[in-house]
Amino acid sequence: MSEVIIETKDLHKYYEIGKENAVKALQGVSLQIKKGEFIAVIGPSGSGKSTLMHIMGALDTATKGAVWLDGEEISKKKISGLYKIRGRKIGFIFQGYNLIPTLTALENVTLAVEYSGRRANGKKEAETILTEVGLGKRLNHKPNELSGGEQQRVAVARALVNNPAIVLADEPTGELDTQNSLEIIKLMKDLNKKAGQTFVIVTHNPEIAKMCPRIVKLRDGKIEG
Amino acid sequence: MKILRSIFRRKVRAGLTIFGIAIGIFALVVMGSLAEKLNKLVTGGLEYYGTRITVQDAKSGMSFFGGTPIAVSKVDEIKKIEGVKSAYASVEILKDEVSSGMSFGMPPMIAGYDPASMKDDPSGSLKIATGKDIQEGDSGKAVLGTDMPKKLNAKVGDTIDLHSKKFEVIGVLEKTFSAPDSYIIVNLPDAQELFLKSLPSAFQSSVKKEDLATSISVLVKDGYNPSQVTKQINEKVKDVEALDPEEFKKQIANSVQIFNLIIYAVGLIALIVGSFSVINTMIMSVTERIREIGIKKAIGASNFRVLREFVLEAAVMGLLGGLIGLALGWGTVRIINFITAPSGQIIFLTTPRLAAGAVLFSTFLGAFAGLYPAWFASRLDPIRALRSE
Repeated sequence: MSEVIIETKDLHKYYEIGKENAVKALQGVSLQIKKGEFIAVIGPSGSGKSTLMHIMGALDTATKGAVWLDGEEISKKKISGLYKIRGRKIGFIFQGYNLIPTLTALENVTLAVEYSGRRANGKKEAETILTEVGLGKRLNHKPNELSGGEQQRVAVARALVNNPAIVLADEPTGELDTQNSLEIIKLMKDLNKKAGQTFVIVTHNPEIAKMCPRIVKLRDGKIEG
Repeated sequence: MKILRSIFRRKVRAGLTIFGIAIGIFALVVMGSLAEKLNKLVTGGLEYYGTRITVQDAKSGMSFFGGTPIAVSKVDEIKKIEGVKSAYASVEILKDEVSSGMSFGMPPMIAGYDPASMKDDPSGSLKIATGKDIQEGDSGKAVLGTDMPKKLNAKVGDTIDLHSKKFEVIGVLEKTFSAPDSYIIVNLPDAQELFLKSLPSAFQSSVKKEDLATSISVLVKDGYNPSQVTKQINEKVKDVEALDPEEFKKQIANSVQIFNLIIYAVGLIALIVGSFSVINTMIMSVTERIREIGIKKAIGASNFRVLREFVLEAAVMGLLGGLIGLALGWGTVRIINFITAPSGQIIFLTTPRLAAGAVLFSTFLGAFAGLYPAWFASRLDPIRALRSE
């Protein structure tokens, strides 16, 4: 039995709209993800997928409940200190690639090493990982000089460069065509197999979900089934 | 490089902002060069006047030139006072009794010194550029301040007319940027003769020519307080008024400070206007890059890190504006100085401290102006920032 990398316990998240109305985005989500898992979180929009990902990714805090990441209870930490966890233990992949437009592929990945606070040769590590995702010859291209698929590969490289405990991908294929979508998922699966990297993929695409060994379904802020 | 790319993603806007600061720094450099020049002149004057006590006749009041004559014999009385190193009489009178029309700067003066007594006063002696200096016993000879050959249309070897007496020009002084530039220096007895003639005729018969002077300069021995010596002279020598060099220094320092304040205030206003455009640009820049700030925070940038990045960007804009403004200002000053140099008027001086100060100041101002937008950026909620388009 491999170790648990992230665990949520009875996670609640309420957003207040006005004084009396509150949106209950999460209503008691308890989830365990083990090291090396490749897991899809699916559900209709408004089901709480993104909220769950934000809380697991230390971008947001829960109203109630607890989150442990890599043995550390991050739900007890102050929100102002969460950037350290994001920088060192979490890799994000977003729907819209979200690269910095003025920086080259290499610089975009290096930036993640700089922000992590690790004392490392960021440029060298970034170069290695970019080569690994097949962009060895596109290091000095800016995002607008890369195709959508290539941009998302840069985003994958950026998410992985700090060797995080977990990679959270929010609709990583949302803006890609079928061919590129499959390639990106395949890339992530390869990285999962080779390096044992844990991936959590939030998607509403059933095709993508089918490629994942484990699927978590969310509906109305609760885990189904 | 990353910072420059970030700044110049909106080229026109960044360019205009930087140009705004450059204009401010340009104004500061040009005005500052004027102030620096004045400061240098005054410092030179302070060195000269600040080390000597000027003694006048008690009835002369505070006027520096002309006024009631003082007796040369007072020199010996003054020399007896403790702390006095040396003292010598001099005559300084206006070349033209009524100055004609408006003029910029000092009116031409006839100054008479005894070359022998000047030997005790190396700091007061003026350097000869061409020709030679007045020697003991010379008569009918004159040395001109650097501005005078042009004004009198005379050169070494020519004869000039002073109060109807002919003088041969034997030398021209080096430029001092101060009063001696419009001096005509003659031997003391010659000046005394001219001075006597300028006095009312009823007075002329009652004084001896050799005893006439407009002021006595007193040098203080090392280790003595000039103010104390001034007090001693005023107490022990009758009918004279010794002017304390310290008082003189204070007065000059005050007026220079006010002048500097006015000049730098003008430059400062221009800069403050420039810094508002930095604030404006940075706010726009932050607003456009909210999503980018969200990404940075998501991948591990701390609030401080985001703040630092934006402040640094604003500081670099300030630095660039400062460098361009300095180059423009320095160039302008050089051109104006080049144009006015032949007429003997150098009015600007760009000192290294002014140049460094201007650039440093604009950099800090840029950083300061960027603080609020940067603070705003650093406080953004990463999730909301990521959702913004």
